[in-house]
Amino acid sequence: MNSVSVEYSQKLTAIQKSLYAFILSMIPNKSEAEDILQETNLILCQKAGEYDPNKHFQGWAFKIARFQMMKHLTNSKRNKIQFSTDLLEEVASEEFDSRKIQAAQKALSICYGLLPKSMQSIAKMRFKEELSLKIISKSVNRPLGAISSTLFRIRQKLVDCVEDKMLSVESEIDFKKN
Amino acid sequence: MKSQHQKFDSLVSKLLDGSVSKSEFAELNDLLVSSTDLQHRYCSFIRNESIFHWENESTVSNDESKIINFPLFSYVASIAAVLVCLASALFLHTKYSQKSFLSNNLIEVNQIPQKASNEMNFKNSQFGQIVDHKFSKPMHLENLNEKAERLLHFFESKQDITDEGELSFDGTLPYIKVDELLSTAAKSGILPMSDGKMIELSNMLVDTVNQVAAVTETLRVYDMSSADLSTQSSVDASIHFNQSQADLSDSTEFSLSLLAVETVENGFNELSSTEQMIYGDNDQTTWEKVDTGFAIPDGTEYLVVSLKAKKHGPSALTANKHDFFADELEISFAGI
Repeated sequence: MNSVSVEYSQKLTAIQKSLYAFILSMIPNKSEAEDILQETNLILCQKAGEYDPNKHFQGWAFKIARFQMMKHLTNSKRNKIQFSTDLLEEVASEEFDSRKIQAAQKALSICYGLLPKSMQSIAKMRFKEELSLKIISKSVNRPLGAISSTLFRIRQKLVDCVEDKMLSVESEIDFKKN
Repeated sequence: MKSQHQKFDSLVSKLLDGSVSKSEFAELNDLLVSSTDLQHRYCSFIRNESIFHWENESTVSNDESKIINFPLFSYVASIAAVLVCLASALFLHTKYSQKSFLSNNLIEVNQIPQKASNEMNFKNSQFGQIVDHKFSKPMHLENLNEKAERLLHFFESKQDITDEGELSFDGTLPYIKVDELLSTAAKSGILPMSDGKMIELSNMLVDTVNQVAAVTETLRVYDMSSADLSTQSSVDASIHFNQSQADLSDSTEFSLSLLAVETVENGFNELSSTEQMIYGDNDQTTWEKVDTGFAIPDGTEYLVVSLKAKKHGPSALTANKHDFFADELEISFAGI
């Protein structure tokens, strides 16, 4: 039996979104990223006893996730659409910090609300319901290419908007904490 | 700069939609290698995608209260779920390590006292004890998996062959037997109960957001349309369950279901159902038996026998890496 402390399990739970984003950034396939996330969670539970509480939990977790990704890259023969783990590691560690994810989540909710209704509807189908482009295309009776272009514009708008709002949201979070 | 962003953003969007070509991927890789700014921008795209992936549907809303409250709710809910499960596992480990755990960390059936099971949020059940959900938690027709529906349509269309099961007869009662197709020899440290073969369930589907994993298998579909049903007609079913060693030592919900179905104008309608559940332990040497049965309602045209395995909490996150087995399925009819 692996003994997992309450504090450790809290940290593990709180870091799930960061871990998933970290993995997805290098292996941009949601189902593969989920598989690796599960494997990483399992290793993190097994290695709970080895964690030094004085060290940064995210760094420890990302290190294990990185190892799992490298294992996946070695075993993966079919899918070559994946980045080297070295390429984005530094920037990803910074961008997927759980505090930053929390702020981005709030900013994203605001930005989503600013999208035109037609875009919200497509965004919901693609991002929330995770429907394929083909199904969305049939559902809204628009060509596949048009859906692809709309999704590109939605993503672009959201990224720019979140970027724009992040500073004020982070300040607000800091203000509330203090 | 803007045009570079346009091209870059378009490539990232294609990547996230799974429609990027190898040459476009190489181009994207080169852009990322060449610019730290673009690496940050790429991570922003991924971060948004990841946040959407983790949010539940109700969060995407203009409701301002949700925008503020969601992150807190999400974390509190998930932490609570993990805490309940892990604290329970820890409780079991520390309190019953001498009596309830074998040397290889296996939980012994029927040795976990009521207090422990309550703390594990298992309501009124103990390991190895059956929780009777008969009629209180019916399996609705819409919950039938696709395979069961295809098998029902197979009978309806009077076809001779299906590759999803073997057409067999119980006396004069025709049925499609799927269990043979799912059979396996000894695996993952589990030995079949008697004849060298057992049923292996498919991999669980994992919902990482809600920390739930489950798999449903339709084992048999009986064509009851030619059966002479009366008020005395009934069916009894039993099966045994087992599972491979799990690192996080908590149990799995196994259930056996019977569903009586009639055909209606636009498809099928559920007449009656029963589902019996048991919490399987983590001991590969023992099999947990579950049995159920019900009076077959008049008008039943098909009887579907299915089973389900389900896990909750942290162990659900890795449930698709574990194997789940069933064996010794027995179905007996009376009054037909």
